[in-house]
Amino acid sequence: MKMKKFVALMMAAATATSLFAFPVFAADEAETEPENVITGDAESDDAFVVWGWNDDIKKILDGPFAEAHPDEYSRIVFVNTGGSDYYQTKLDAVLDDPSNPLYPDLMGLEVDYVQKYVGSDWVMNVADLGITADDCANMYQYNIDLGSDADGNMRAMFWQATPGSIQVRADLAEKYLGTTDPTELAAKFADYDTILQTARDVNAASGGTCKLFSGYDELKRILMNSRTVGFYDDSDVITLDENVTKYFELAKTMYDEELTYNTAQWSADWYANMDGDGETSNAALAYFGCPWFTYWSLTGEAWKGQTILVPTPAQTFWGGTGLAATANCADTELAATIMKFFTCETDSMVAINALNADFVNNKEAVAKIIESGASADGNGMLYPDAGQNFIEFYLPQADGIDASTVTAEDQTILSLLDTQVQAFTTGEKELDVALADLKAAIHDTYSYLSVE
Amino acid sequence: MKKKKKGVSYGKYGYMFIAPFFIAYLLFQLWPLINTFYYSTLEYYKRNGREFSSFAGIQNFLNVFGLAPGEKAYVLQYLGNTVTMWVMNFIPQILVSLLLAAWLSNQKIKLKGTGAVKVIIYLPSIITAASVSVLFHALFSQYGPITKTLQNIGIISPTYDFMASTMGTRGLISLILFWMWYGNTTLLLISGIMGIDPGLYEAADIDGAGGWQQFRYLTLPLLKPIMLYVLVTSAIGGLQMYDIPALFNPTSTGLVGQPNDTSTSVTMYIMRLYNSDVGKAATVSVVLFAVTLVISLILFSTMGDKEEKRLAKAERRRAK
Repeated sequence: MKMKKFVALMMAAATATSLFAFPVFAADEAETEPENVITGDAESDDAFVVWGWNDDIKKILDGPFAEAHPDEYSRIVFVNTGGSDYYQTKLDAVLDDPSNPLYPDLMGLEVDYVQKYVGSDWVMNVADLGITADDCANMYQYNIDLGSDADGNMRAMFWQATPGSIQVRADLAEKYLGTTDPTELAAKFADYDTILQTARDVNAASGGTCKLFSGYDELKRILMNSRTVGFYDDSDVITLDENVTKYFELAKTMYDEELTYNTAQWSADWYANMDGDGETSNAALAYFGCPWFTYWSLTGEAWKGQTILVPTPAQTFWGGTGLAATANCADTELAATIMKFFTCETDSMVAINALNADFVNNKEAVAKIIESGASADGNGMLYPDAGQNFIEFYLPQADGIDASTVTAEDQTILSLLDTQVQAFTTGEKELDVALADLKAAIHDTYSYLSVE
Repeated sequence: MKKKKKGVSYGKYGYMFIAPFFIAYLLFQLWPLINTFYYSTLEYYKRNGREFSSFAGIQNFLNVFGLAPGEKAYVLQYLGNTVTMWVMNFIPQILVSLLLAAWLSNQKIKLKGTGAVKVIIYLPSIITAASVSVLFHALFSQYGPITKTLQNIGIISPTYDFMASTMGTRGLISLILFWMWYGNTTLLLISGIMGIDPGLYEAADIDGAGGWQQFRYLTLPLLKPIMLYVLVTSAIGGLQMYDIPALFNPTSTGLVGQPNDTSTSVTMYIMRLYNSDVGKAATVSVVLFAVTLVISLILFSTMGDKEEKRLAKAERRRAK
């Protein structure tokens, strides 16, 4: 009898314990993550699995690649994880499990974390795929650096170059800045103080129904991707570039003077400000962008035939997707075929440009595109009277981009930065407290990075 | 002398029927739980997909409580956030649920359509938390319809933004939790009230006790065991709140609760750490476990039925 009572008691106790516990590996995150969308048959024997966080890669596979390599194309299974934010969590789990039918053979990696994968054991050296330095001769150097590990071995390859620009909406510029001339507009974005003044002008001219930017974070990428030091140095001590401080201060000024609508990038309100008319509904006159931003995000009716490109106050870039073959890639030959098609071969990269007007990571292809006049009007997005050529505009911006400050942890660090910037702008914290808190939060998340 | 066995023992079939649960439980719950304790003693972090681990003793605990040089006690801050949001949802929830339960179960006032009401108030808890979060965010965002309406009729200032306000965001998260779970709590309390002997109410009626007196001196004390159950399960669920705060007003990566880290729950913190520092994540889990355990024990000891215990004790003494 005693034994039975003991067993029952133990069972009850064990079950009760589970109620209180939140085991590290039992965290149910599934509900908050978007579902994967899988195209193709992952169970087939010769399936070749490609991972991406949106269908950017898929569109190129479905278009120019399918046309050039129909047999290989039919084997491709595409996994779209539905968003960049949870991509790493999903990807890391499956990378540790090569027997999973959805284990990627090839995957897309965003600049904010490409260095993490390039520095890992998960991805292959492209030399082992038979890709040589000659194949990469036309690439932009900054993309080669982003895809290479600490020893200079290239492990991820990029098909686009992503020089930054400020994209101005012509009708609003005419109304509130009195010009649509690209040179005159460029002068209004020449440096950060001028940008603040331009923002004040727009605010005053419109009475607040139109603002220069939707949120102060339009300046974030310009400042962050033109830093001279990364978020930590060679000895893993956290370092904050003076651009970080500059960004805090600019954000505060814009907040205090109500120069933007204080929206967060990618939020619904941020998108909504793309479509407003600036009189009866709120509108933003300009967005920070780059070539992909034009065909990917700024696609609304209000911007069709209205986009004017303006150089950023500092040379910068935004995003870009690296392709990497995994360590247990089932078919390295096909991986090499796809990677070369996307990132090395001039003709195929001209075809990618024809698909979406992208600025490809191939200087020879870019020259050919400009020569042929292809996508000169950004596939109908540019404002014709400004007389700009979409690809030609970016040529000087693309040369000499420096991505040496990018680290493997940038995505998370930038999200910690957002929190502190907001706390500072709303007056919750002083600048030095916010900066110290940023460092502390980085160290707390990545214990191997230290605060001096 | 050995007892002689009489008849067939059916006991073992009972064990066989419950065995699947316990096997699954041991493998998928208890084992991870024990592992979590083990991991909390390791310096175990990931960098560029590679894992590094070594024994660290109690170092992780010193770190998370800010006792080691250069460390900040984030876990206390996030516990504070979590408890605040839970209390702000629970107090109104239990009051409203009690009121509804008393009304819906009252035989004298004979409300019509109580069945429909019970179904309707239960419905919100069926919807996925993800959808609810996104819906409320859309309604209360900077330019959301409710925010705009409240601004236009002058209840909040024209520049007020729930998403930039600590109390605004916490209040709304509490409101969502309240809205999702008050139906569930009401049903539990109704079932508790139904279990009370109607004869007691009749006797109270004859003695001339009014509605409030009956509620105060009959319903409430006899509802105590159910109240304890509701409180304990809600506290456990509340301390582990994840999906609502993680989706309502986070930074893009879903790991920091805006504004200024004031809507970050402990479990969001665990998820943030899990991707980079497993040892620390495990430590925070253990801390959360301990806090939950202590809170539950306090609730049990303060709300447990003392009268019954006293009677049981007297009974035992008499038996001796």
